[in-house]
Amino acid sequence: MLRAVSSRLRNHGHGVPAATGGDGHAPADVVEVEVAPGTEAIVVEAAPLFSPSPGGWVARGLVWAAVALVVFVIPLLRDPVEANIYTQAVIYAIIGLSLNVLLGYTGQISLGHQAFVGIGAFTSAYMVTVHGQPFFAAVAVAMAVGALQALVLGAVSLRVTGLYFALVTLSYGLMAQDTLFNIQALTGGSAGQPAPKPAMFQSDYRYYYLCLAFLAAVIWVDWRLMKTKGGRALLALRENPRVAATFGTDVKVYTLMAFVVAGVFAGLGGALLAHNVTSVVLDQFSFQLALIFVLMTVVGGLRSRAGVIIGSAFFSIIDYLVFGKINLDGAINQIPGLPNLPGELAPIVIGPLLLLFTLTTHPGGIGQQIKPVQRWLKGGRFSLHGTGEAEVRVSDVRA
Amino acid sequence: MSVLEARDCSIAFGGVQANRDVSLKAGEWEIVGVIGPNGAGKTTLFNLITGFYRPDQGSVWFKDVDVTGLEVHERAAMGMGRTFQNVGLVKGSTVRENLLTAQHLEAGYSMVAGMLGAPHTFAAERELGARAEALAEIMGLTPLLDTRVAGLPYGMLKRVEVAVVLATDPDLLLLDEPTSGMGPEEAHNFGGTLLELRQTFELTVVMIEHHVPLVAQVCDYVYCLNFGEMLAEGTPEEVRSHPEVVRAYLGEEAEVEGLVQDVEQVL
Amino acid sequence: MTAVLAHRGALTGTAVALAAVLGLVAVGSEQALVIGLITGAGYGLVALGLVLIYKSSGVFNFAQGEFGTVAVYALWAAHTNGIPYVPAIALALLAALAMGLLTERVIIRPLFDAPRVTLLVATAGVSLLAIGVEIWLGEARLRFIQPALGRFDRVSVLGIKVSDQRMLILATLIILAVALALFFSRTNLGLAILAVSQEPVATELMGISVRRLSSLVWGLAAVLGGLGGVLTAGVVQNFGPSFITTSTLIPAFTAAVLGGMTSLPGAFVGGVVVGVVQAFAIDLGGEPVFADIPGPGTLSVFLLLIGVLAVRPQGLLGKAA
Repeated sequence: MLRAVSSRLRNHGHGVPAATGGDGHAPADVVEVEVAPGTEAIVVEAAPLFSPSPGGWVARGLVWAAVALVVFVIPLLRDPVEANIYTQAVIYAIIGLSLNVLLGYTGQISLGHQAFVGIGAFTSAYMVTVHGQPFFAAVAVAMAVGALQALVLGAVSLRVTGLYFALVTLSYGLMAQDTLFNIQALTGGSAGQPAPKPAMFQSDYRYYYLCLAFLAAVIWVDWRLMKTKGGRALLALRENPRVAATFGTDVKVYTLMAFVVAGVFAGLGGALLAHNVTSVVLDQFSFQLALIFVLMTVVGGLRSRAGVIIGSAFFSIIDYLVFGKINLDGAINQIPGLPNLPGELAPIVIGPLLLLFTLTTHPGGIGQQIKPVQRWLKGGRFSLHGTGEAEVRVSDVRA
Repeated sequence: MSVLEARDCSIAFGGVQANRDVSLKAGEWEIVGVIGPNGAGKTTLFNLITGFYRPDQGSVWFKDVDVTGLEVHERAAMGMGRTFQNVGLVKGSTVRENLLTAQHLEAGYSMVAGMLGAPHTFAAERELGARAEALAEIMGLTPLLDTRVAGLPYGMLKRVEVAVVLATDPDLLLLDEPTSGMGPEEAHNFGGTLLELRQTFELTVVMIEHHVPLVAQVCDYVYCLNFGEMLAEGTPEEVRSHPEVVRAYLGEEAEVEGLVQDVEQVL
Repeated sequence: MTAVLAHRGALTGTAVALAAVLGLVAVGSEQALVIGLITGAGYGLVALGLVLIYKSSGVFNFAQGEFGTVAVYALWAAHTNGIPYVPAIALALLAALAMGLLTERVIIRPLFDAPRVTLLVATAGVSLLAIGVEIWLGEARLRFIQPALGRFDRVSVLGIKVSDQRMLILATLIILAVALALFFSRTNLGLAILAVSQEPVATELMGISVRRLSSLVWGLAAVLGGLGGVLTAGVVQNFGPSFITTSTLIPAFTAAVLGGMTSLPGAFVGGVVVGVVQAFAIDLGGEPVFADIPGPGTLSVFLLLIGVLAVRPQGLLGKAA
């Protein structure tokens, strides 16, 4: 039987700090676990106990305050057009989180996600304009429609390999563009469908906070999902479906459930988008948008909520930020022979470059890069290396 | 009443008969050994029993219920637990997370309730966490709880896997070469552990094994497979001295041993 | 009798095909049959490239369509700058080849061991980048291009006039499908590519350079894609950014799936099936009863894909899973 032994340190030359003094005591966080008596042992260095200094707490508090300032206060101080753009960033974050459930947690790729978002948008607009429903009811219907699409599509296509699933979603997206979005009665045809803001949230500022509230709700559900059996089941079946099955997980059902959750969030995002710009037009939802959704989620960093939020927000306002604020197109236009790069093109030129860069060199995306900062903000020590988890080294134990 | 019964199971893969008319029984709280040279079809039999394959002929009965048509997760829900030859764990997660994931069926709340953060899910999660820690304690894994599985050495992985499969609260434990990579002393210690676990958790165990002393130490009954067929069965002493068994392990047939295993791996 | 049973798949297939042809003629849809056949041949060309890459590395190459679009833009640019047609086509294929080799070197090779989904996302990124560059450098509007062969009324099938360009597509596809099938089954190089897809380590140990094979495969697929693009452009004559991807990629994927994703003749047959089904659906879309359904072509392809995956995921010619 194994015995966990808190014991004298041995100097193994693996970077384990030497014992101090004659019979030095091991720091409580280093433990030796013998695999069997007299054979090799594992040295487990648990994440060292650390508590920030008062100064450290103040620094962290300031950073939190700055984040809160940017998210909650800054938009108020800008003009309504800019507030609108920030709202779009928030909505894109919701869409990114939706795709992250599918791509990050479940390992399935949806290349037709813009169809889910678009259908959510049109549904909500339709419910409000044609059926005279109140805003929140319309949004609820949009979410339900998102779930329904996922259910139907998933039931057919999740039975086959993940790559075929990607194809089906792509085909679905194109079909939605050509067929569904052109159904005059539902989408108002080329004129589009108006989608007014709800009565209580008429101003762009109020609508921004409304969307922030929805984002918070999505983050809550995502957080609870991953902290409970559903999320754990998804991660298991993503990595090792056979083992997940032996844990009692019905792989097909859980994959479908994940898709439904993604569909609900996407429908929500679509509805919020519609009312943000107060009208929905069908050419908003081309298949390039589907690719942008995928790449903003991947660049953001799969399975990292904060990363996905940052990545999505970034992509939604990239043309405004990079081209409006920093005036990158001015710089590009200086290069002779190269035609102008209009702002709207920025996402689809810079985006893929970022995506390819991420995939080949930093697969963890933005999420991976900000991990040290996240840990620091939660009160840990700031270190660029190490995962904060217990580290294990195998060493030789000779009595 | 036998807990597990495989009746005349046969399965072929592209012309190779991996199992032919294999029958096996395990009674309540018995430890049953399955031995045989590499490629004899032992893991195939496990796959048939647990539901990863369906037999071409024959049936599998668990607790007197015909489970031949049931899916893997359904059999797991009935109380079948299993380990894998190349270690079945979620390598990207920590030991603790694996122990929690394995308690999937014990969670006591629905996936939706979990997502929405219903109040009872918090208490349920605390309980799952406590159970995970208790299991880790029993297997001596407490310091490793927050270590990523991928970083652990092979011998450790086997122990973690046992803890994790126990977390699924099985009545029947199917162990696929649990002592592979262990020396004779370790294997002997594992035997002791197994007997204690059988007592504590009231388990029936079917075990694929290569360590002959271990089989003699713990098994109540042994089956020997070769070339997909049942060669001999009986108490460990009976089987060990059976002439066919001796020939199978030491005899001239040894060269074909890899065949069935290769076929299984390709498919 | 046993011979009949052994080939019952092929016999059933042929019988169904004959029935379909007769059925289409009977309902007066010769147009759908003939035009669909040849559009389908175009899909088959793109599908060949897809299957080639999938067969050798398990990757779904989302950028296959853009190999075609890039070739068309190169053709147009060369032609409008005074280069005669045939050399211009050569340049176009060279452009596609370059894009394919570059993609393989910069994206595919570093991700060799990554999960196939990652590679799909990467090729989607390549595709989007190509589209972005096309819009940037070429502007988002439609342009016009001449076909390779100009006559429209030389050939007539079942009363439908078939342009020379279309016949060219059909001929090209048949030649290529046969050549590639022979390549994979008879030549050492072809067999090596198949070996690499199943056992890369063992193949490398036998002295075959996995890297060089990878470049070869991607180069070949890119040229096939470029050829498909150039020929299709000759028929459609108006093109814009991403046009091969949006018009051809999904039907080509559906064709490849129908063919079982690993069968080259299957890609060909699948392409034809998709082409005919789509043409027939467009025909039907003209009928008053279906007049309200927009985009019948895309819809029919989508339904076909779902139908195949629901009923027979291994495709018409693939082995049972």
